[in-house]
Amino acid sequence: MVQEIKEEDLYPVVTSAERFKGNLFFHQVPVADWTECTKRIDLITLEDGKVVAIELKVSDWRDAFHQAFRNLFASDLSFVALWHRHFRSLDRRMFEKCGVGLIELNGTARVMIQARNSQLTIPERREYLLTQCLPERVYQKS
Amino acid sequence: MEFSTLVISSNVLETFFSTSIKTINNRAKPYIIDPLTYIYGLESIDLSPKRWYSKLVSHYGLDLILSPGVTTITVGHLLMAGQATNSLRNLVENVTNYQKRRILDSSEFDDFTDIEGFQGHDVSPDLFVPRFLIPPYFYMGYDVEDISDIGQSQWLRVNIECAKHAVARKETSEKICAVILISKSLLFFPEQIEKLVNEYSTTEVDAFMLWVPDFREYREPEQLLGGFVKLVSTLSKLGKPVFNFYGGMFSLLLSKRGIAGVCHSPCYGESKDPFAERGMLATVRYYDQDMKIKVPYGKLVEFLKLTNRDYCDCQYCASLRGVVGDTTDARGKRIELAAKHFLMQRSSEILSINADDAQAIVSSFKQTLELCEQNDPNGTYGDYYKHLKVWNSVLSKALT
Repeated sequence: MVQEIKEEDLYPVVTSAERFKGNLFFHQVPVADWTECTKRIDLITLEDGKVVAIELKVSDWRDAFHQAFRNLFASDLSFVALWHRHFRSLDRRMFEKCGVGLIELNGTARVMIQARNSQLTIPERREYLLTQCLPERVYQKS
Repeated sequence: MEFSTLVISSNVLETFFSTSIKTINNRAKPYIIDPLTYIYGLESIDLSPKRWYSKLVSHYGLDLILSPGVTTITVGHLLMAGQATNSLRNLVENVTNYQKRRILDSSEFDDFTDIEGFQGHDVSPDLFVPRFLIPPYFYMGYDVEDISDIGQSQWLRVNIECAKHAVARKETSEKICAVILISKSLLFFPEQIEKLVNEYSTTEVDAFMLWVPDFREYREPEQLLGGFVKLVSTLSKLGKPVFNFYGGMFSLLLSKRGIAGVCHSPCYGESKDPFAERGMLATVRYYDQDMKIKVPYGKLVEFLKLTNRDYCDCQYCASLRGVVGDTTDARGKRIELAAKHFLMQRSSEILSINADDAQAIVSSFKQTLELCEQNDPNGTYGDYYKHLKVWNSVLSKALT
């Protein structure tokens, strides 16, 4: 029986990856405090003093890329984590141009493109993001 | 160019009558009333529940034209064998009289004059004579009539007859401004534009007011923007001022190609769709003076980062950054300050255009575009700056 993968199935694959071993993750973290902004980042983790944002997607890599690019304004590093079946149509150059990292998910998580330090981080946004990493947002694998 | 005229829609006048009188008096600027007659010709929108709707029906004498329960005027009410009916003539008379006399003949105006007089201020009735009178106007388009050529449009005939009748009955000191409300798709066809202008050349009105529905200058493709330039320049060859009823920066930059003025509200209203339902939560839109577009205020800092800029140092932006919280009051304050910032920037842009510096503004598009493309190579924020490329292309040709 082939089961359809859902986005929530990808969370434990990312959080238990070797790359992020021992990290604490926060999920659905709001990006800004102004009314019209409903954007939330799928996963945030802190690593060596850096804020790492990860957007998870089953298939629409382009949408995930744009979200991950926008995350560069609030984080130090930004990744897209994509389900392996949709890698074929992906344009790697887009990621390499902007410094957005790419993780392939296939039972495990493998970093295909390393993220580069963001040149677009806005200090106030980063600070706000950190204030939103609250206990109730800690990701617990169910 | 300068801020020269207040435009008050008749629905706003009817809803805020006393406030409108005060505003006209206090601003001491010429004003015009948009009679909004187009709404009575559109089946697709029903504004009859609005309180002002029935007031206008009464003022325009539409209750004598329309049967009970009928809210839409048809061509058949206004034309018979291509000629104006009495109903059309009466409509023109009622609509233009409304603009001339609605305020001056009202008890509210008498009360206002009395109160001002008591306080030692004179109220000049001349201030309440509209700068232009607008004859009844209706939407013309391939989507409301089964036509392949604008020359076949019966609504065009109606509009022309209304304009001609308004000119025929005007007093010497009065000026008639025809509103040309046309389908956007017309702009794709240069020969259709020429036909339209040819028709309006027979009206002998004193000015033209263009309205292309939902014409968003920063979104339209190059071909449509080029069509708009053609419409403006062809119409202006008739030797009468041409205004854009709902326009922004792109229109202002066409001052050398025939645009005499542009209307918009403070920080919104640079496009309008007559078919859209109104009523929306007011959002804080901030005018980015380098990108020449309004951006959600919360995103401003991202655009500044993309283009290596600091915050605007005007007095309003300094106050804007000091507004905290997300209460209704705070949002209202932000909207007000963003609007003031916009008006200040727009004034400065108009000064540059008046000083013959439109070309310098157009040249600045390239610099902003380069920075955006450098920092956003995949166009994630492209919706907010790609219009600069299109504008640069159209205006570089139009202004040489």
